Amino acid sequence: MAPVFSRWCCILIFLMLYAGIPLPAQNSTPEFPKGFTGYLSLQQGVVSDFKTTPDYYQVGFSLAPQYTVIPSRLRLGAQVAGIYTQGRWGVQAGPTAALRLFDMRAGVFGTVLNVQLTGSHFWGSFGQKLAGGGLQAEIFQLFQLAFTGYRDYGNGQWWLQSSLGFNLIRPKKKTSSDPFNP
Amino acid sequence: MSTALVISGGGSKGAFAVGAIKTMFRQRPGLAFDMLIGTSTGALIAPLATARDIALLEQLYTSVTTEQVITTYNVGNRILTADSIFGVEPLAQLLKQYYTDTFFNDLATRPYNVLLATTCLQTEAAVYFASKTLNSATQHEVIALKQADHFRRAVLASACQPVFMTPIEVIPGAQPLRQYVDGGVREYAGIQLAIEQGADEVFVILLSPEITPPVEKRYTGVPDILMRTIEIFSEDVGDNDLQIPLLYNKALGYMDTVRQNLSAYGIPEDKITALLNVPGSPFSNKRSVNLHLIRPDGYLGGGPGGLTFDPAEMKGMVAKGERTMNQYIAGLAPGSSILV
Repeated sequence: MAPVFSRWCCILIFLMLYAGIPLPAQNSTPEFPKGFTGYLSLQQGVVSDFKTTPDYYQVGFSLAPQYTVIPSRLRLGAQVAGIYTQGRWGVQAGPTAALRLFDMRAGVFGTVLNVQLTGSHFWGSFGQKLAGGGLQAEIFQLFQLAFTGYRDYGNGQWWLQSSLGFNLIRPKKKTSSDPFNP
Repeated sequence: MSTALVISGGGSKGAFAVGAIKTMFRQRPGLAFDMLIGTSTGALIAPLATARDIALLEQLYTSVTTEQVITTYNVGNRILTADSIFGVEPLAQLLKQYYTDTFFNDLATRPYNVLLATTCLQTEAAVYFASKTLNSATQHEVIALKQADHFRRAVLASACQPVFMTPIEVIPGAQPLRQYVDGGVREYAGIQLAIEQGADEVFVILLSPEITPPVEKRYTGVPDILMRTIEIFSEDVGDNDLQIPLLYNKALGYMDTVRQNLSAYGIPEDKITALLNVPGSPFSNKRSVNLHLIRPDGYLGGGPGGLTFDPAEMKGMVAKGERTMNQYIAGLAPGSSILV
């Protein structure tokens, strides 16, 4: 258990160091603006130890409020999930971090999506202790598509999953705007 | 003798106009226009297109970067939640910095009129905002500005390409609601207003070349095709703006020649006037205008819609404007213009 947890700490330290590198001016991005996000996601995947068969199907939902601590670079937050697998519902919760890697742009018009490296640690029902992360794309700052993998070092299993999310704390449509009084 | 300077739209390509204007003031240091009419980037330039302010204008158009004009966002998010793709708060800040209350109050006392071309989203009309009331009647919709804040808003409205930049309420809270966008939607250059207001000599600085060479590339992306379509629309609006005054001028020149020929045949002047001044003639009591068209001979750059403000590229545009204007002046016959 301890080596897995140490690796997880190393990953977090790396993320924090990477996030601390100042962004070059030309890389200024409208992605990861200051403020909160709150993605409600549907997720599914498998739970496997890669030794015995069959693998277990898992499906569930999660809510992940995050705050951008370093604009355009790093978000920290928490996630709580309800997951059904092996014929029972369980709950997982824990801290998450998302590090913006790069954007996809639509020429001079701005960005379309950003791709993030995520890292999380969850404590869950039935002795679950999950550490891991993955890649996720945040589209229009409204939708999220994620592929993640976690090591459940409490039960010696792997959790591989994909999820689709919608940002509940999305910017509201403005009825008017005044550039002189933004 | 009344003179007008008309500057078209074109974003960062306005640097070409700055170079051309600089050369005009160098050629004739005491030069003063009676009317300064600007559309879009032309509206940003027009209030400073004087001998006193040309240095500041050149400094601005060779140093301002895209980030100092517009803010980019996530495009999809903006389409779903805002009224424009770009934010223009940086440009609004620049206008506050340079078009101060003192500047506007001073402008209102100057002998010339600055007119800013906009298009009203509600009425579809081409609306000009003026630094003072016009001297003569007009068929155009012209609103004289009384406050510095409204003046800044009018300048910004004229520069705000719809969809890309936000529509502006020039007079906030006015009823009925009126939002204004780039004047270039209706009129690329306000030549007709200058002629209507009695300008004898009109200098028109256009920021697109007369003959646009084909763009040899395949258009595949939606943004690319959209920008190209807007370019084609803008050029068509510009061509139409030019066609009418040019045709009008040619017709007046023709009438003058007919008048001279009739006089040469010994027909008395009063009879010639009676013959030519047919009721309803659009040429009655009109005289031809000394119209100068100054435009680049090739593509200036500045990215799609002139939205890329690259100081190095804009310095090149200023130099090109100076060169073009020098060549134009060199080709003028002595006495044919206030410049020579």
